[in-house]
Amino acid sequence: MVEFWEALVDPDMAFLRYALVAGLLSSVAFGIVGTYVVVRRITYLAGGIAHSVLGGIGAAVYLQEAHGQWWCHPMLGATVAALLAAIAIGLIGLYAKQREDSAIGALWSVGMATGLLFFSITPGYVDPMSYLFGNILLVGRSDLGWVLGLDLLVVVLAIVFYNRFLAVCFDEEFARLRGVSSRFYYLFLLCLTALTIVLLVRIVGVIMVIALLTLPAAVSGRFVDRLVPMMVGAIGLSGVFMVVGFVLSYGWDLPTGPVIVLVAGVVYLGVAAIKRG
Amino acid sequence: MSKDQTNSSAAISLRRVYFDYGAISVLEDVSFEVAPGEAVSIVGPNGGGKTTLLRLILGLLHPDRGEVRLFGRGPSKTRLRVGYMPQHVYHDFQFPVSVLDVVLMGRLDQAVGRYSKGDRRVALESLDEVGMVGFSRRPFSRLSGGERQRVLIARALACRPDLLLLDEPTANVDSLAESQLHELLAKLSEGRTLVMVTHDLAFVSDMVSKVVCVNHRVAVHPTEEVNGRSIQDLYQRPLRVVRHDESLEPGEGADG
Repeated sequence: MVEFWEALVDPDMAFLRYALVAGLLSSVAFGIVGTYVVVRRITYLAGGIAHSVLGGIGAAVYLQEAHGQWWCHPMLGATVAALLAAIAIGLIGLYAKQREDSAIGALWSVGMATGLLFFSITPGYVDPMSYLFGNILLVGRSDLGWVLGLDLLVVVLAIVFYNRFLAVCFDEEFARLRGVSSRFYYLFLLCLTALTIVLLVRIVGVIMVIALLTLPAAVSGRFVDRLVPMMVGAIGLSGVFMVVGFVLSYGWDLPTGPVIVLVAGVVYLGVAAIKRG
Repeated sequence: MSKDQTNSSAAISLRRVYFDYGAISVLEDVSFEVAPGEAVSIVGPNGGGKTTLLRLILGLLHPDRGEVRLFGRGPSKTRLRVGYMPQHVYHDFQFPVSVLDVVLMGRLDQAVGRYSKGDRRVALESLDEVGMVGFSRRPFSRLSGGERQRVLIARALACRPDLLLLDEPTANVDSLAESQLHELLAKLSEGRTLVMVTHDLAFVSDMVSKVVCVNHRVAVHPTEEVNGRSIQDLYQRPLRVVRHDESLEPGEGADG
C-alpha cells in the first residue's frame, strides 16, 4: 500500500498517475451511463459496441504506422468506430426487421476481425493483447485530454437530458406520445454509451470494459430505488474498484485491467449472494 | 367544408378505416365517432383488434385505407391533447423510479431540462385526484397492481388532457382494487371525454354512454341496448367467449 503511494509520486512512474487519474475521471461517466445501460437492459448491446471498437483502433494504428497519418490516434479510431457501431446497432434494432441480438453478434465479431486484420498488415509488431485486455503502460498525457473531454461531454449531456433519458428508458411509447422522439433519444443514449466505453479501453481493454460499465451500476441498484442515487453509488463504486484494482495489481505485480475487473466481479457476486431480495 | 366541421367537432372520428398486418386483416370498414364530453368503452375479445384500434387513434399506426381524426386533425399532430394509460409498461420490474418521477413524465412535453415547480404541482394534484398523493416518494416497483394502475392514471391526468384514453385499467388487479378503481373511474368519467378499453363490459356499463364493440369489424351500441343482450349479437359474427360476468346461456360456448 505504502509502496503504491510512493510509486504514485515517483516522477519515473508518470504512467501510473495518468492511468489512475484517467480511471477515476472515467468513473463519473461510467457510473452515469452504466446506470442507463443496466436499467434499459442493453448490456449485451454495449458489449457489442465495446468489441467492435477494436476495428477502429486497428484502422487508426495502421494509418499511423503504414501511412504516417500522425493525427490518426488510436483513441480517435476507437471513438469513430464506437459511434458507428452504436448507430448501426441502434438503427438495425429500430428499423430493420432483424433479430437484434444476431445483429449485435455480427457487429461484435466483424469489428474484432477487422481490427486484428489491420494489426496484421501494419508494419512492425502491434501487440493486440494490450488493446484487448488493456495496458496502463500505454496511458499517456494525451489520453488524459481525451478522457477529460469525453467525460465532460457525457456528464453534461446526461444531466441536461436526464428527464428525457429517464422517460425513454422507462416507457418509450409514452415518451413518444408526449412529443419526445424516443428513437432519437435511444440512439443518443447508445452514442453516449459508445463514447463512455472508449474512455476505459486503454486501461481495461475492449473485452473487459463492459464489466466496469455495468457491474458498479448493478451493485448500486441493489441498494437504492431511484435513478440519481443509483448513479451516484455507481460512480463511487467504480472509483473504489479502480483504486483497489490499482493497489492490488501494483502490490502483486499483476496486470491492472483484469485485477480491476475481478474486484468488481467479486463484489457483484458477493452482493448478489448476500442480498437476495 | 361543412363536412370537415362536423368532423372537427368530434374528439375522435374514424371513417371507413381498414388496417392489416401483411396478409392478415385486423380491422375492416371501421367508422365511429366520440363526441367531446362523452364516455365510451371499447370492448372486444383478445386478438379482436382493440389494441390496433387504440394505436390507430394515437397515430402510432396508420390506416391502410380510410381516415382517423383526433380533434379534427391527424393524430400525430394532436395526440399531445390525449392522456394515455397503456396496459403494459416498463421492461424492468426493478426500474428505479419514484411514484412522482413516473407521474412527472406526463409533463414531459413541457420540460426540456428540469421539471418546473408548476409541473410538480400538476403531478401532485393528479396524484391527489387518484388518491395516491401520500405515495409520491415511494418506489414505483414496490406498489401493488392496483396502486400502479392509479399512478399510471395520474400520469395520464398530469398531461392535463382533453381526452383520457385508458387501456385495460383493471388488468392485473385483484377484485378489491378493481372495485376501488371502478369508483375512481366513475368519478373521472364525469364531464370528461373518456375512452376506456376493456374486456369486461359489466365493469364499465354504468359509466359509459356508448360501447364500441371490436372484433375485426366494429359495432357501436348505446349502453342501455348492450345490457341484457348476448355478446355474440354485439360482435355481429360467430364468437366463442369466456364470460366472467354472467352465466352461460344454454347452447352457447358450452364445449369451450
